[in-house]
Amino acid sequence: MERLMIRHTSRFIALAIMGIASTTAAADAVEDLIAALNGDDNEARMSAANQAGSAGAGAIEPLGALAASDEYLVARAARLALVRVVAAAGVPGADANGEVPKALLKLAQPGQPAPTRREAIFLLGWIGGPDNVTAIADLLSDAEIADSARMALQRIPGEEVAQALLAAAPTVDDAAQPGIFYAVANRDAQDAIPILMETAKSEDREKAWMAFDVLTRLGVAPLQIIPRTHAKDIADRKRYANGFLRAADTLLAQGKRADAERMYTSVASFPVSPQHACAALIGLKNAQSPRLIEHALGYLLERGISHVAESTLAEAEIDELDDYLVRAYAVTNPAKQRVLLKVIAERRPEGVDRFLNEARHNESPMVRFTAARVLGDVPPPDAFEAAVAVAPIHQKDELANTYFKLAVGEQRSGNLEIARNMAHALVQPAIEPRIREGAFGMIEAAGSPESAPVLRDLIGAAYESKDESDTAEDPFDDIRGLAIAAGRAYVAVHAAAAKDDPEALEEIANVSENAFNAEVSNFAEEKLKELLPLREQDSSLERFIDDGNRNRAPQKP
Amino acid sequence: MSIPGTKLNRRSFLKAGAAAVVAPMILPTGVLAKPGRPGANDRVVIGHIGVGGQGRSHVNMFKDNRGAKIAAICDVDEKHRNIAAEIVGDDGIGLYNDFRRVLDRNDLDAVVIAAPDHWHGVMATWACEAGKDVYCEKPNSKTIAEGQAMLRAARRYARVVQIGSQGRSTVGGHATANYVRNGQIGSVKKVTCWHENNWTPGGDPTKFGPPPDTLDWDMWLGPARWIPYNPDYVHFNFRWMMDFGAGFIRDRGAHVFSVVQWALDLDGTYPRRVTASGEPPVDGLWDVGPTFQAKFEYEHRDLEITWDQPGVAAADHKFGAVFEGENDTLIMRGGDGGCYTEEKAMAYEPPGDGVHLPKSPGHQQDWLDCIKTRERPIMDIEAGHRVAVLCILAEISARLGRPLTLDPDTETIVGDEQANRLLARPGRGIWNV
Repeated sequence: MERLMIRHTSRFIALAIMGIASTTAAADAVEDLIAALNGDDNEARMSAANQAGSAGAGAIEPLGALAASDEYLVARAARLALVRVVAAAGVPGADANGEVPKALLKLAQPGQPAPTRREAIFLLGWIGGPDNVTAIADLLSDAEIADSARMALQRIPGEEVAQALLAAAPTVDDAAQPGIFYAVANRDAQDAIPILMETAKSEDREKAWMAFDVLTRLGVAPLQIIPRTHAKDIADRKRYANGFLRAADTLLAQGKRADAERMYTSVASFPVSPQHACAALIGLKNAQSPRLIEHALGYLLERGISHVAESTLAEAEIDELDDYLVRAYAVTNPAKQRVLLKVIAERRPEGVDRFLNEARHNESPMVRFTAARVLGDVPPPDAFEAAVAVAPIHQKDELANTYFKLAVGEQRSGNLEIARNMAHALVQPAIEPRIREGAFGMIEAAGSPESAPVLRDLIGAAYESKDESDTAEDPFDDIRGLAIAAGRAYVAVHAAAAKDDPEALEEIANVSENAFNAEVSNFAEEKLKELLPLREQDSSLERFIDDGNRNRAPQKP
Repeated sequence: MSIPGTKLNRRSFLKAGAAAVVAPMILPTGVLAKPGRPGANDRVVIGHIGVGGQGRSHVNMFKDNRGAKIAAICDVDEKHRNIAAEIVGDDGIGLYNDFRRVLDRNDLDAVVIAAPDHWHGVMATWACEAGKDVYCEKPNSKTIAEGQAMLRAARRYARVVQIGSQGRSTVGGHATANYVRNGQIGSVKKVTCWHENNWTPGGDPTKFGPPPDTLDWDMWLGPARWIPYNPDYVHFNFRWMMDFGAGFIRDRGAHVFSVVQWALDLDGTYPRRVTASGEPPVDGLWDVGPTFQAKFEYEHRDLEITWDQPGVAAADHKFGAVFEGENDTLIMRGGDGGCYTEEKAMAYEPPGDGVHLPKSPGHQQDWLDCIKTRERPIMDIEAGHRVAVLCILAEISARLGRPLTLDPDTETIVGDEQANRLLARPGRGIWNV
């Protein structure tokens, strides 16, 4: 026994000596670090700071002092060294006793220079644990550092944080209070509701709205907070509606589906803007609410909302929705039928193929076109033109967009003639300018003489009128790029036709002279130069070229 | 008859199906336009938030776009506001210091956000909540939590959000991605990105003092922690401070990685392991160092992406990427609005049944088009977020000095509680997402 005690004592002494040696070595390392940071050699200073991770908690106090140095480079190096120490202590298990946050807390106390306090409290957010929460929360009442303390607390996991923030809320400076309220809302601290309800009654409008905002994040219904009549202008009304949506989202997440559904329905029924209607429909979809059906059907043709009405119906998981969509289809107008057809096709209920095939024979060209498309067919141009002719305005754009994509697909698949004919339908004036621009691009790329007569009907007159009047208006000047695309397509197809059609060259020359913009004019000149050698026997073409540089239009008879 | 659990009876159902049940008291801006000839009321009405540098170039571009009308200018620097207003040349334009007043305006369809990185999360999220479509400069966000909030808001409020990594809208970026996606260099195992050093050290630490009257410094800082004013922090130079940017790994990384992700079909994936380091600046004001290295290792496929500053330039350009395939390599120069690739990629046309990546009509135009069609733009918020995650993880790894292992499903770091704390950044005051 005695021998055992002696052995233990020896081991204890040995360990103590090692500990002292280790402590001494650590102290030396810290001393070296501080000396390097205070030195004149910039490179040595930053190198030492960069490698300060192993200096440990013992380095924090002297580094904190240097972080407030008047010498900017010294202060910055000290801040970097602190980051390195805190990062090293953040390796799982590296700072088991929490020495680093304890040291940082000392630096964060009143009496320390402000820059030191700010840096220490910032890094407590990286390393502070549940044991430090109360001490950090005490700093919330210190105006100099309150917001920094709140930000640090927000990074610390655990239930203690919300309680500490909430306890401090009544005592903190006005400037720090909003941040605290948002922080507790982020942690879903329902205990915050009473104090926030009081704050919402504030005469200070900003403060009251802030409380309203936070309360709705906690799932409190707007009507319980502020009467709707308090939302006077459009900005307030939007804020109020946003509160409905936020509260409903929170309630839905809490499993209170019926409450959420009521709020979404309220916004969907009386939307402040199209965007709010969209958000309400998405909410109803997320809530799997059957109320989605009536509202989404109501908005199916409403510009700015229809796309969401359509997508929510397509994605919703609601009992018997498929049956209701099919029955709605049977009693509604063709414009809505067209959209419902897409929705039904996307949902693919049982018997959808038969349903879609029947739709192919619908009276409305819009519906027939859409049925063909969703069944994987490429409708012919006349079917597209008939559909566009009767479609409501924003469906025209959508139809054209769809048809353009189909045309591109045909072009890629090598079905060039089909693609070209589709493009001819897409360059017509009733089509949205951006799509016309793209279709003209397709026609240019195809470069087929078959397109020449079509474009001559469409564009030729514009160049003719330009020739006669300098004030002629460019009919394609709706958007940047359309005029260029139209002109280039015109030139390209006439260049393709020039081999067999001498008049085609005349058209190109006409464009080079009368184009509405320089890019088209130059393109026409380039084409003429390319074509001239092919027709060199035809001396009459020489008149198109002047010094090989500027072209002139052929003399009109 | 009624739908189970609802009050919707047959009569109300028929009414809903046959006609608009709800008659909203709203007039969308484009509703009066004539087909084929869009008038002023068919234009996308835009507010610009942040109009220095890149923001001003957006003003110049949208001013000349007939599909857009600029109706509001917002900047915390009065000088910037005035210059931008002069560019627009419309006396009726609204000028604002506080972006919330722009979001309050009911006549605006959309906002262009070109404020510094540390503002993106709050501004874009709040803009979506206010019902605005958004063009937000890259990188998507300062933190992963902000990016998640932006994405949630965009989807929740059905907004069109384009992130300003323009490489995907360039001919070179498109050709690069088409070529690689269609297997022209074989399976890609490694992508090496090179970039010149950050433009640090720099900035003058002796210039601290009160901000000029024309600059709202508190609003400039916004969600970032407070620091005293120094003129060399603003405006372009925010990227050399860790609190606001983190150097070119974010700035140009968000460009280069965008095309790399597109080319390798990585938009729906993440690397498993990220390791990064960088040396600190020896002097000057800024705390972003000149060099930076990052490595992204993927688990679901045999792939490694590296970012080297300075690295070895594979071509005569300040930055770019080398795709190393089993059969060949492809060099992409740049990756932003100036993105170039090799001739073999430029000349390549995929077969009919090959991969045909969408062609953008230009980054801003693509956004305007999508606002009308309600389709997702070429650099949709989700892709923007995923690209930013690479930049942010590299930043965190370098800051902590250790590798990070990512759980791709939760976007969290495995077994590193401290690293997870850095995925979010609590904002100052009310500036929180």
